[in-house]
Amino acid sequence: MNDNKILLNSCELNEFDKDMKTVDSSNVNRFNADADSGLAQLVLTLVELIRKLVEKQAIRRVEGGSLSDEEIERLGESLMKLDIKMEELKIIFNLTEKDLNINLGPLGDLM
Amino acid sequence: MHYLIYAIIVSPNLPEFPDKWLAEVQGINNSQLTTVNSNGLTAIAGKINNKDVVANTENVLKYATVIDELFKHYTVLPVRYGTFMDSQMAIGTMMEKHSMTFKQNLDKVENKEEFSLKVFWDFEEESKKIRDKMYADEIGSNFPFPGNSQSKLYLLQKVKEHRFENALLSYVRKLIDEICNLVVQFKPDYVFKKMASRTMILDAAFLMEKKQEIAFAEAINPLKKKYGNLRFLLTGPWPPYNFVGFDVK
Repeated sequence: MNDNKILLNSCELNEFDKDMKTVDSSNVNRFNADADSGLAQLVLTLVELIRKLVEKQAIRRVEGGSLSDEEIERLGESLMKLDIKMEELKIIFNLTEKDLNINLGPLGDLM
Repeated sequence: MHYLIYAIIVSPNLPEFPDKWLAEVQGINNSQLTTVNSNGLTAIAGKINNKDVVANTENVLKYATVIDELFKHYTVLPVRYGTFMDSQMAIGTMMEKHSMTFKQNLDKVENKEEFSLKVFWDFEEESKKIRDKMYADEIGSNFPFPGNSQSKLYLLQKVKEHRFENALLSYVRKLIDEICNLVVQFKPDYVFKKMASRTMILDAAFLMEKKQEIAFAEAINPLKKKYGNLRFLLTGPWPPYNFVGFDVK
């Protein structure tokens, strides 16, 4: 970056350089177009997205106090099992959590 | 061989443009730049091979430099990196088809420039402070349910994570409100991206009338003192990268 574009900075530029690298690395994950691993990545990404949506909705209901003790117990168990299953699938297809958070370009990260 | 499009401007009135400018500025891989005129608009393009349109640092910087040089003289509509067409004729056809959209976008950014404000923090240190405060507030009060079965403990952990995320966003929203109050006098358009990464809590862009950079920097300056735990980086003026919206097909 050209120095004359910097109007205000609260620390040394090399510190920002370090910070910016963390942003760059979080933005480079794109969908893998290889037929086999790409399809697994795409399917698991969708499953993970739905799982997170379900989890958020469940937490809203828990926080809202609308669930009975038994329902909370069942909900916790279901979410936990789903989480464990996702971890197993990620290992099988050699994917990490970051692989399932694909970058959608100008729209940002999926999750 | 294709033509990579860099930017679109309103066709200049001066007949000698862009020869002088084109002679001084080169595109990616030192390619010579050319212009395509249509409906009162001019596209700046350069010949390129498919394989050269790689989004590496060198190419993207070169691309940005071309747009920045153009921006010094004209109101510019930056075209997304990697937009290329088969021929100058194809560019002309595309411009004719989208001329209304381009003109509307150019009107929106005329005589305006963009500023970028990025705010960073030490994630580990700051998130610990937020967690500590959150847990202190929760002691003996609003844990959502009793019990210590494995599934309930799992759910409780998820609730805590959810509350932590909300606390983070609430912190960033407060900062955004404060920034908006500080810059209200400039009547900017703005775009805020919260939690762009673990360390970049805010990535903001502002669009405002030209020649206000010094006053704008002064308006932002109090944040440095107030938030000693945050790192601020204000840059500009930039072409209006974050304030144009069109889809070329």
